[in-house]
Amino acid sequence: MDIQIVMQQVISGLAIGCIYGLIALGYSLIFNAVDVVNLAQGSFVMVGAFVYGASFVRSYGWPAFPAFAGLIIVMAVFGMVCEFFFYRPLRYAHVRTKLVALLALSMLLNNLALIIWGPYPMGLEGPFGTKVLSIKGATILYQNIYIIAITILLLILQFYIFFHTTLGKVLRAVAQDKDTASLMGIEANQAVSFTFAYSSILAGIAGMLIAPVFTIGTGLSQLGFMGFGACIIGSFTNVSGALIGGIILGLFEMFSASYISSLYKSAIVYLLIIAFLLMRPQGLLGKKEEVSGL
Amino acid sequence: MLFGKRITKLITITVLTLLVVVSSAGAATFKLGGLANLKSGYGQSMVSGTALAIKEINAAGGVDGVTFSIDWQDTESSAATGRMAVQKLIFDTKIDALIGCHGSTVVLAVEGLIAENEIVEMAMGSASQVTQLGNPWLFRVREDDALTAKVLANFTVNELGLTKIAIFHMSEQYGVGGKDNTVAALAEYGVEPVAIEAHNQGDVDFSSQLLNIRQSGAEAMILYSGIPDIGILIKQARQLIPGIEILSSSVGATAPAMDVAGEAGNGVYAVVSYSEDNPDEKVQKFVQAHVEEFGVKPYDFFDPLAYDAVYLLAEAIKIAGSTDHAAVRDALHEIQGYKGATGLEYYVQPNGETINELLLIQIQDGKHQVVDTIKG
Repeated sequence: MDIQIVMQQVISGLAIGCIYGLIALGYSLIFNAVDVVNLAQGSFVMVGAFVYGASFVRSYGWPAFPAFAGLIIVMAVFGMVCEFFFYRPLRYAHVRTKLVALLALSMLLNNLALIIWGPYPMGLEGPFGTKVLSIKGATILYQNIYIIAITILLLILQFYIFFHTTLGKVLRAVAQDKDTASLMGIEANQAVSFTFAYSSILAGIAGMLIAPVFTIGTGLSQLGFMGFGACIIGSFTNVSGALIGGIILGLFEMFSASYISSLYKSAIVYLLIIAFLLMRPQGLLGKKEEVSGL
Repeated sequence: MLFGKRITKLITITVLTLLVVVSSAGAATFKLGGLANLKSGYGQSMVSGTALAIKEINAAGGVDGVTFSIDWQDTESSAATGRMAVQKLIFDTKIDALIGCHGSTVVLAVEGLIAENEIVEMAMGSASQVTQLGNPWLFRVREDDALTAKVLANFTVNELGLTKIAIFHMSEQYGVGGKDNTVAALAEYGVEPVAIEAHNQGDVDFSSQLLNIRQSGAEAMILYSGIPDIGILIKQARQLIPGIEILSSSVGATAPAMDVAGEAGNGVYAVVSYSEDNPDEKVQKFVQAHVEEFGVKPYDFFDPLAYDAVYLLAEAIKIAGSTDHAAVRDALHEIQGYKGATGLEYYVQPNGETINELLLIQIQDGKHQVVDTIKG
């Protein structure tokens, strides 16, 4: 086995794993707050990539920082609007009803993206272009290092918000019992609205980061499945679990494609996810009493 | 006298009715059905290409007074949906001819229907099987995959002088067919691919396959992939296998693929049936008309191919002097050397093929540089 090739595989697996982990952070956030898996999270990532890359950078020619600021604002409003129309009216409904509504939202967003931005995928030049760092014959994109760094930063931020701020306590209280939280004077609706906004911002940042590596197109929404899988492996309730699940998924996908079958790598990855659902449904870092997933 | 007036009135009404009938017969409409995945870029290109051709033909008063209309149906890239769409076009819209589909899978699924109902189909799927069926109603306005593979194999081995060749294809019919044709074409030069890798449509990470190709020691890589996959693939290939020659079927040279690949697309060779950078007068006239009509340049080769498909039918109606389906079908075979908006000359073969020459181009800064025009 060529050590250079293995090293390259590990680096590539880590990079794609961090992307999955970043998407998984968005799932984890909403799940922790409202106990529902946001099945539209992948589409939120797609919207973020389109808004930042297709509209702000390519159409309006905005520099990176104003485009980033614009993205944060747009995604925050977008998240709150989605919550208001697709979650709030159903907040007391059965979890199955909420899931169907969020799935419908995902389909709606994909079709709206086709109408607004068209069916043609678009490329986007990242801040580092196509520059690569060579380490003993293995090459790593600077953009991937950037993604890994931002993912870790967002993980720390999310961890801090959830466990060391009043806002985090409010969100966790609402997640545990909305009615009791309301009796304690917490504005449950506002807290949930904020959660959707923050999750939408995270998805937007994920879209912004991965657009230069992949492309801007409706296909990006499919990455949501891998973020979902990352949460099943890591844990929906543990913030670090999302990232760890993503990295495991990325590495597993890379090695199974290299040594088993590149064509059936998705099927092999889903087998791993199913194995976790059967044998450790709470995920690697979840507590035993929790049932991961839906 | 009164009787005489009545007779005069009757004659006048009869003459007027006959005039209306004759004039409406003169304004006959040749109904086209359009078949494509309308949510895809390819589908949208076909819609704009046909719309432009129909607008031009109708604005000029039609072909011997026959104007064109088109009804588009979405296949959603599914053979089953495609069949239902064709049934609707044949029995509800009552089409005279069919344009599309761009996917061979759908073309092969509906070819029986168009033969049974005697409808000419101007198909755009590139699989070799399309014109091997012996269906007299099926014509192809696109290059055959086997021709693309022969050109790519010949150029890589004889012009670039490379024999360590890898093939990277998508797992759908287009990719698998391209791979099979290329393996056969390379075998004619005594070359066996050093690696064959595959990916699924919609994949975004190709690192593992590219690393396998790197390990195989390949000097050149021939691609059969889709949009946007191929753009991402080229980008990642440039990073993981620096120095490898990349060659592609026509998909790699489309505007969206080059857009996604960005700088990484520089130096990629591709075999195409159309290039907007071709200085040919007819190509440039088409590009200009497209910009004037839609405000944008044609996105890919399906735009001029669909445009040409409509004009080939118009030419056949002119030759036949009729819109009778069998007459139009037979007249299509008389078209030899019709210069299209693709810049190619169409020679309709007995098996329904219309294209027998291709352009070999190299991508530089998002533009095509024509390397050669190759006859099949």
